[in-house]
Amino acid sequence: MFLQQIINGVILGFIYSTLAIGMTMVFGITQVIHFSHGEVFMIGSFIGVGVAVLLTEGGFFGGSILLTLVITLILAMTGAALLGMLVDRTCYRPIRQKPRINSFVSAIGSSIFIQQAVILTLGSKFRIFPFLFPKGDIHILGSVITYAQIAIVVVSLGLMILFSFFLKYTRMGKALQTVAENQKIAGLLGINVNRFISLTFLIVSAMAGVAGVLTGSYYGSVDFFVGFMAGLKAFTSMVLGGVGNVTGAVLGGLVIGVAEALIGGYISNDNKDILVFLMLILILVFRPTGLLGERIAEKI
Amino acid sequence: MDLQIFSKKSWLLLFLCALVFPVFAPEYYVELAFNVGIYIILAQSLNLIIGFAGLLNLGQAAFFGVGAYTYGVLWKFFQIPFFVAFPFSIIFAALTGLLLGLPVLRVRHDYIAIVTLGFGEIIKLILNNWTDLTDGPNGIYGMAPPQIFGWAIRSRVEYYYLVLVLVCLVVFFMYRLGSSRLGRAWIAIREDEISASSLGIKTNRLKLLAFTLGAGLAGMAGCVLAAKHRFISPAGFGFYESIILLCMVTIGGIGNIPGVMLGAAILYVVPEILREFSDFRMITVGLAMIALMLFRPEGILGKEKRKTIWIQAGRILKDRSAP
Amino acid sequence: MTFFEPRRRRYLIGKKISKVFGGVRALQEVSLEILRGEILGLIGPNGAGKTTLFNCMTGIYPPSAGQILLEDRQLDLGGLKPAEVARLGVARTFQNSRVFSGMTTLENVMAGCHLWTRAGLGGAVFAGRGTRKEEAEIVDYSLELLGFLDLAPLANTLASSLPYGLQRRLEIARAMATRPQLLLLDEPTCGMNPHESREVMDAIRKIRDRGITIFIIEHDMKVIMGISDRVICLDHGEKIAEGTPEMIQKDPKVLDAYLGREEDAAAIG
Repeated sequence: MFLQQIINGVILGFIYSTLAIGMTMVFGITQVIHFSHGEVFMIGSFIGVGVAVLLTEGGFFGGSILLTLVITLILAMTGAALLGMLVDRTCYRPIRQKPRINSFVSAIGSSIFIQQAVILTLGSKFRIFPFLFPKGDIHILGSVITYAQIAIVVVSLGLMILFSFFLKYTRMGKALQTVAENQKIAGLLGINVNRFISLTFLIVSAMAGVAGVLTGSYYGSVDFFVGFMAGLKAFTSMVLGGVGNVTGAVLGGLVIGVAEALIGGYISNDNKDILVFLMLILILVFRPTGLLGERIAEKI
Repeated sequence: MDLQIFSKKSWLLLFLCALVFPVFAPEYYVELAFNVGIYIILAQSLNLIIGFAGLLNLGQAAFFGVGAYTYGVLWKFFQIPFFVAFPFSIIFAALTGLLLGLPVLRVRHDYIAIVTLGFGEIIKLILNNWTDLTDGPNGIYGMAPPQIFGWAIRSRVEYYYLVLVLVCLVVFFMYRLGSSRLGRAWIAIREDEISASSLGIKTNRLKLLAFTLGAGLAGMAGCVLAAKHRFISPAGFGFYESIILLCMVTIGGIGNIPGVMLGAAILYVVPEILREFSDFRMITVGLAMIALMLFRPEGILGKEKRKTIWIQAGRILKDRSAP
Repeated sequence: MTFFEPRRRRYLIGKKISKVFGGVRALQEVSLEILRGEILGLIGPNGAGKTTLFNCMTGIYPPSAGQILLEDRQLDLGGLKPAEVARLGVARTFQNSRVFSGMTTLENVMAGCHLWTRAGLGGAVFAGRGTRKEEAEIVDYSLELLGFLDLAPLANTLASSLPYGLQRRLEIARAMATRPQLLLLDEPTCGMNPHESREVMDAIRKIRDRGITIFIIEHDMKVIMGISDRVICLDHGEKIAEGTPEMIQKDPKVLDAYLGREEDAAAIG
């Protein structure tokens, strides 16, 4: 039972890690907490559900689950990426030079706006998400790991590895890191900072879109509120791992996922969200720099 | 375009209008004005925290709730009358602010928004789940109307005057704070905390003070609301309420006292008028917040014309400019 | 210092101050003395650790090792918070302009008077006679400081509308408002033309004449050599030279450090 909870928690954790990487990258490069990242995740889910329902009910691709999943992922990724870049372009970029509190308020506003837009256009009821994973499972040590769970791990891990590769070994990735570390110097080196910020939003939003599809399909439903909670958990994971620290975000996500599963399983399933939140506050009070330390320089 | 409309004369005029308003206005508008008054107090309480100390508090509605529930609980168990419960509401809300402020200040500045959001939700959860104390989601009802010396405040007009008195006190309080040594220190902290502390300003202590005071004011509003509606439940004190308060402050301009009054009035009255479109309320709030930050971050009244407004200072400067 | 000058008392002693950031050794066992009433200059190529030293002295972050002792009080400044350091009589300005842009020039300086005044919540709300008297005192003192630095006519101007050079001067006035005994100036003439720099130099001399000790970082060699009694040179976190301006200008180690960084070579007089 315990192991089962751990397994469930790890799956959840991979989702949170994916989102946390996004939040940490954005914060590292813009010093603003991307409140609407959760909403981008949610939109990814909604696009996913729309596409998946269309494909499965229309009997496209001869009912091939894999193809449906891939198409859904691609479309959701694209939509989410576009939304993320749009949010940056309209709500963050124009006021980057102004006091930070303005960006925060704008970020909050964008989050509320997207949430409400979904409620108004698509309604506040949840929607059923078709199951797009191969059915079946394997048994290990008395616990069950479903193929769906394996799929989630594979996709998330794949994304993270790709992203890490991108950051370390490609020219663009390395430039991105430079921009994240010191915008002034990057500017002096002739790097177009805004373009790299847009690139960051594109990548992390696409990742969030993928996470949205995976989560929606795995749990079988989506509604407008998943973004809020997911965003909060992503934030918690980011802070736990150390802000600006990508490895930390991955670690933080896994820890939060497992913690949530354990709390939900052993303490209280209704209040588990708030308890995770309480964890966040405790972390912030006792170890504000997170487990692996922060990676933001503040030059004085 | 900057609108500097609040000179001493215009304040007086505004007050006189507010004084005679209920005599001419139909009941519905008096009720409306009462609610606007409550929100003015709430918005100013948040204005104190954000505008003076620079702390982005997303959980202000929780303090509102604590104040309301202090009265509710005192009434439920001990039948404590309004005017006795009133100071307790303020004190208890302020204490909550103090207790929450301590950990809030330990976190990195950028996280304060989310941590306060979390605290707000936690308080709401406590109010919902501690049913022995609060009757949970059913709420508490039946609080007696405020009474002094046997005369009970029952009519809408009487409640309105109660709120008017409080609004005047709050606005006076805010202005005095803003133009004092404390106010300068707070604005310094808001503008540049490192510079402020390099000048010897004890930033943590002052931020905590702002948090506590803001919480107390919100609690005061809560107590009055509880008395008027004679029913409270956790539903009115959650995240969306906090966001609306934030939007009121944003509309008015962070730190801008008359602006925030106007912001509170606008954000309460407009949705009331456009009742049929109530579904669009929150999305407009979100849009307004973005738009304001992009196009008019100083708030609807524009940049505050900062004349040096200290009483003594004004006289000295005038003397010096005389040849 | 010639034979006939009265021996100045030591105000501050830094003993083997070190600061490590991650893997970077920003300061390596820097020892120094600041004498009362002197103007001590701090020079060094970019990245030498000058601002890091200031930051350690004023509580922005604690030194990794070493002590920063105030002679009078036998107190170690290392590890104290910035507000505590300020209250001990050490004030500073920063490399970038950090004036409070939402306040007027006068209000900025008045904010600096915070630490030697008392009015609190009660004073704010009731504005009794004591509070009003204190406010008047604050206004008077602030105006006097503004006059001292030739900023008086701009008292009611919003600080953000001041030209950059005047903003830097405002910062100095604001730091002086704290009634410090030691004033740390971080590149006060940065971004100024020669005329403005000379005005700042005069102001600094006047400040010293008021009895305030000054420790100043500068890149402009004319300024440093022109006003300092003594100069310390850092490079790569280490103190490589110390002496009078004349000695420093000829010191081969100093020239080496600067010539190694092309962009500063032209600055040596």
